[in-house]
Amino acid sequence: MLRDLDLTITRGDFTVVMGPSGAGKSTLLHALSGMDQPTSGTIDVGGERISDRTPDQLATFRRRHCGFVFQQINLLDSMTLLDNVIAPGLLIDRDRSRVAARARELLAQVGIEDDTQTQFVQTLSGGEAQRAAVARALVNRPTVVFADEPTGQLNSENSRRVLDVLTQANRDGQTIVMVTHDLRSALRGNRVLYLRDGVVAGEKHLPPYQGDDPERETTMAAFLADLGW
Amino acid sequence: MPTWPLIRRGLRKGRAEHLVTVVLVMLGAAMLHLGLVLGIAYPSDTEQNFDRLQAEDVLAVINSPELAVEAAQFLAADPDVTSVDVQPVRSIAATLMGYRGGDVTTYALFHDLDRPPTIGMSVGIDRHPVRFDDGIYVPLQLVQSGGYTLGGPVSIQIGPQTSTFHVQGTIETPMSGSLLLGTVGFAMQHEQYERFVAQTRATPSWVVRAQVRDGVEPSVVGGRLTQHVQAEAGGDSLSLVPFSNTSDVMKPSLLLPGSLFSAMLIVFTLIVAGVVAVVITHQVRTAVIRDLSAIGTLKATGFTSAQVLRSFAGQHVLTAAVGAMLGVVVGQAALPALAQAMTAQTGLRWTPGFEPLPAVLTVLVMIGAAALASGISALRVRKLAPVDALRGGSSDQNAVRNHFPLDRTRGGIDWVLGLKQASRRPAQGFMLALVAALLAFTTVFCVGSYRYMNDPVAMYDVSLGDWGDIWAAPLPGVDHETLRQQVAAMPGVERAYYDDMMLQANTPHGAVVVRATPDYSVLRYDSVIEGRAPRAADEVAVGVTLQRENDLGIGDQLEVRYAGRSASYRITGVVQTGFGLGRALSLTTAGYERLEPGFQPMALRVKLEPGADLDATITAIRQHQGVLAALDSEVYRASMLGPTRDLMQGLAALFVVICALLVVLVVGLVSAGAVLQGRREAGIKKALGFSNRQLSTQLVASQLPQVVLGVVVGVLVGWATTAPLVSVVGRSSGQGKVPVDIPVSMLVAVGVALVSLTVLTMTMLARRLRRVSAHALITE
Repeated sequence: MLRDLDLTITRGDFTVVMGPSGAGKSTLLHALSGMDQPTSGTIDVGGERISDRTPDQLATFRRRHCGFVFQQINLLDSMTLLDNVIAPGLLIDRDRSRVAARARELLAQVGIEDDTQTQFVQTLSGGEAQRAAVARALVNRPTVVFADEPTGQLNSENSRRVLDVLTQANRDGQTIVMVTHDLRSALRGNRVLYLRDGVVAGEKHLPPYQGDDPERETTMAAFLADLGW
Repeated sequence: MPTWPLIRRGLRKGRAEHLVTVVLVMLGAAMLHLGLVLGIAYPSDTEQNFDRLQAEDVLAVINSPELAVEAAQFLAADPDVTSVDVQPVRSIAATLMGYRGGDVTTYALFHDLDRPPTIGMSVGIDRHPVRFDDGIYVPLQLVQSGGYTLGGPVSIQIGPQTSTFHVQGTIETPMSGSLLLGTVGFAMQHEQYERFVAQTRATPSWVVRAQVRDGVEPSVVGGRLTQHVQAEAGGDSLSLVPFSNTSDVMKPSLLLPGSLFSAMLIVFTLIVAGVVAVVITHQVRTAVIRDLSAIGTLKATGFTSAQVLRSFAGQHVLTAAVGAMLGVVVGQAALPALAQAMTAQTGLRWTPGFEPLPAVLTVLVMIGAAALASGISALRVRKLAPVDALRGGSSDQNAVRNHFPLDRTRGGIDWVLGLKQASRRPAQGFMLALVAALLAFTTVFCVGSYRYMNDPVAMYDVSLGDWGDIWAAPLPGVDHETLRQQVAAMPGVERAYYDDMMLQANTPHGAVVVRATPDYSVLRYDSVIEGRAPRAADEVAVGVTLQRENDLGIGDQLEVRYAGRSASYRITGVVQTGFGLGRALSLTTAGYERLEPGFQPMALRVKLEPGADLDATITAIRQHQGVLAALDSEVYRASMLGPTRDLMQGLAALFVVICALLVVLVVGLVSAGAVLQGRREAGIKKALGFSNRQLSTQLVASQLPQVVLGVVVGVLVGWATTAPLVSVVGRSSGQGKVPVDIPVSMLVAVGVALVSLTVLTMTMLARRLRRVSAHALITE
């Protein structure tokens, strides 16, 4: 449940949303991305109001403006990794070869080799699958990539690799909104929002992430500690 | 029983699927129960009806009092005869106005209730409480199927005069109670009868009835009577005995509608049982895949493969048992309507109760089909190792080929994704295709049958033969050949010829109906389906049933007995005819005269020139002094077969509706399953930006190709096999080669209709995904 929320996400930011369970983090993410509609209030993206759109209009909005990375990964089991990335690409670009080329390039960028690209999802590790999910999220060059606890089910090595991919995308100009419980993941953002009981209880701006930085970690820890995290 | 909790769990988890099975089995069981009741109980009940009404075994209408007395005395002296009755009546060809909204003509007997027959007729079982001065008792069949009501009016036209009566009550009489038999009896109170006699040209006649001892063939006794009457009547026996019949020839005609109806119901049940088997196979396979982990757990905890298998098969056996018992209940509930329909055909009241044998057989057959289908499809459980099952199966995803890769497959994204889904579920696709093929085939079969029956000329030709355009009966004593020549010379008449049907001949293979006409080559419709029609006096064509039951071949010799004479004929061909349910012979008139020298034909057929005025010609023939009656042949044939045709058409139409229902049920079952199993995937796609419409298209695309393939195959098979199958269904009624014409446009229409219904069903079910948000679908 969100209430009295007045929030602006700036283009090019890596915004991290934190907070205790039930604070409304995922709800915020779903509302911003048009996956759920608010019961009241408005949401504008790039100057366009999306909160009064029909489900199909929202679908069109999402395919053009949103990329998603889920905690449960949520790749389509019935497809290979490559097809998983191509499928949303074909929603906005009918040039099959161009979309396929971009999908292969993105998969390569996230560290998935050619022979793995044609494998089905069930045969891959969680890290590989999540990196493929990031590639899928980026294929349409969305306005915003929404990541909902993308490392929640990964070990530390795979978590780091996924976060590296997201960080690089952000450096390339990609706006990212990421929900996380994890302090190390949160350090990747340049803006941290802390939600509690559906309202923004705290906000912290950081310089862009450049690599592991103890001072950044201390600052973040102090911020979160002040909020009772 | 350790498997019982597992069965209960399966029933609970697959409620929707089991409900569909129950409905399907119930449908099949209801039809099978009705089919079996008709096939098993109806013939014996009809036999009991004959006993109840003390039906005569031999009936002759004689137009001479002296000859009638002579016939009665002859029968009374026959040691095979147990009782004889003679009753004065009036007889004539009469037209019933307003019968089923039209007019039908039949040979009618009018009885005086002061002189009722002592055997074979029950008058006034239904009776209007008000006694009408112009009351008339009509055959029960006319009330059941003709649209007449007790107390309502009925108009009967005899020659130029029309008499209107009130229906006082009904008559049951097996030998003359149905238009199907070509002769119907009416009865009136004495005063009314006297008035009627005074006003009409109806011929004074005497109905001679006799019952024979058990074990005696009535047609043999009838033959002896005919021989005697011929000898007494000289050369005019047919004019003086315009109608005679025996119960062993008549009963098959009365059983014809029931046997046709039963055959169609049982054939259709087989198709429904096939659909049930396919659906159960699909359900078991799906359940095994869905429950792999549970199967692994069970096996790991000590359940044997047989127990697990029984738990899957047991669900469906139980479901089928419930469906079958409900089906029997539904069938039983529908039985009064069916009984009424049969009464409407035969004029004999049929009030079946609960028939245990058909009910038990029905339940056993449906349970057996379900047990077989579920048992075989659950066999794969035996091969599953516990560890593999616990891991969700040992199949290697990458061993599965990636069909329709998106980087190489042309076409819209939604259709390609749908096809990808379809390629992942080949078993389901096969099931859909098989069911679609079965139902498309059945629909084409029903449409073909309907069209065949909707073409009265084709159906009446096959069942009754070509009767020309006009049927006319000479008055007794008229020179038949002169009359024929005079009618042939009338304006608009192309040809006049005699074509008679005799009901009392015998062969070593039993009683037969004999048709005699001078030249079969002049007939518009050729009943011969193998070989050729007889041309010489020593040649005969045999009916389909007679040929099949006795393995008669072309070239064989057949001895025929009639009225104490016998003659041998060489079989030249096989004919199809409903007379005697195919126990029939076709002879040339010269051939028949070998059995009955001096034969005087009675049925004059008239074929008109193209464009000739039918009504004017009928009027002209009626005005001829030597003509007793003249009728429109089509109307006459319709009066005999119309109710049966309507019943069969109704059945065919009902089957088409049931096919549509099955399409909706089966496609709905598969689609609902796909929607349910694919909710998470649909949620992901929604999140990625696929619209509801696209998801709907994908669902359609994932099933439509299989359905289209099945429909195309089913339509083609139906097109190729409907005519032979209709012939097979009609075999019991003497049909051998039925001309079923299904135009291509009709086949296309059937295909398009079934596919459209499929798409509509899938689209409707896909709507279930519409109102749920992507997030909710993913996290369900």
